[in-house]
Amino acid sequence: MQREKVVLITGTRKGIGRELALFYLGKGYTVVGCSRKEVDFFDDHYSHFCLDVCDEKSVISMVRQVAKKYGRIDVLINNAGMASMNHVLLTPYSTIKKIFDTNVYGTMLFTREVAKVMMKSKKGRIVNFTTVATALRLEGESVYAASKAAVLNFTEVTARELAPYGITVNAVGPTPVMTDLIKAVPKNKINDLIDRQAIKRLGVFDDIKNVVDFFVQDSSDFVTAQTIFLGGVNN
Amino acid sequence: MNKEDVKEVIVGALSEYLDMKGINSEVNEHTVLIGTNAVLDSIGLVTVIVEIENMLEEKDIEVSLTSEKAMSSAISPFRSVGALVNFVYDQINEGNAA
Repeated sequence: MQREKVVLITGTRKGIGRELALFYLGKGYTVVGCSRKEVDFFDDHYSHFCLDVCDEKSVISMVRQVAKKYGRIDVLINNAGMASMNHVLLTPYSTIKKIFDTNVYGTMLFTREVAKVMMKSKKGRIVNFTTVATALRLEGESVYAASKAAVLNFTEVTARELAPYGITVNAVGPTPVMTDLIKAVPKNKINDLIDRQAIKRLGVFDDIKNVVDFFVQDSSDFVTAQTIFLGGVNN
Repeated sequence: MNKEDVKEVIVGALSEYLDMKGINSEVNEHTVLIGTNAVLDSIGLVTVIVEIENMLEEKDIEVSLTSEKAMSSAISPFRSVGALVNFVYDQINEGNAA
């Protein structure tokens, strides 16, 4: 039996992606995820692809397989991301490339391929991930913040390009959440960042789920090209 | 897939789109797709290209029409139905299918 929605989430092995996968499985949706390695959870309605989100052939192949199996993709959540906190003068080119590969090119590839599938249904929801580091122009995160600034702008432009097909594109900009992404960041740096938020606390998964799920609702069909930063941060 | 089959897919995708938009235009290999006298606007061209990819995929032929080759050719393969038929046919037979 076809479940209510088919949701494709990138980066489901851990952190926010994993939480979102479990959340939507709990809501009775079919979830398809991907990451470089296998996931540690199992569900009859979850299928997983091991791939690198910036490998074009793998992305095309995955999206085509999903479209063939389910006949549609209702929601794309471009969650896969990587961060590296470092001064620009000390950032290796290989790190810059890796960050842009995952955060920017991965988001662009999945958007392009999944939107082709969504076009057939004349509706779809795409949710991208940016960060408060972009809005705050956070020192020590120049490359990461720049990659997420690219995602923010990509969100706004693709929202216009895909609107004629009934596809909305929005982004959420989380504050730091206790995940692997920030585990190596010194505590005082995190505290400095939190001090610049209107609401001074770390984010939790539920904060992000709440915004993502708002964008995903059928009733959000008039909401597109928007970025919601959490914690009271403005761009 | 021979050239006639490719043409059938492309003409089919284009005709369906024009019908949907209420555009009355004869579709043959001389039909202009971009530039002056084109039957499609830019969003129409995008829609038809993706529809062609989808229709070929349904026949288990996986071709990416957004390849470097397609986008960087000095003479666009999207200029007319005939040019697009030749381009898609070459893509399939050169083994460029994804």
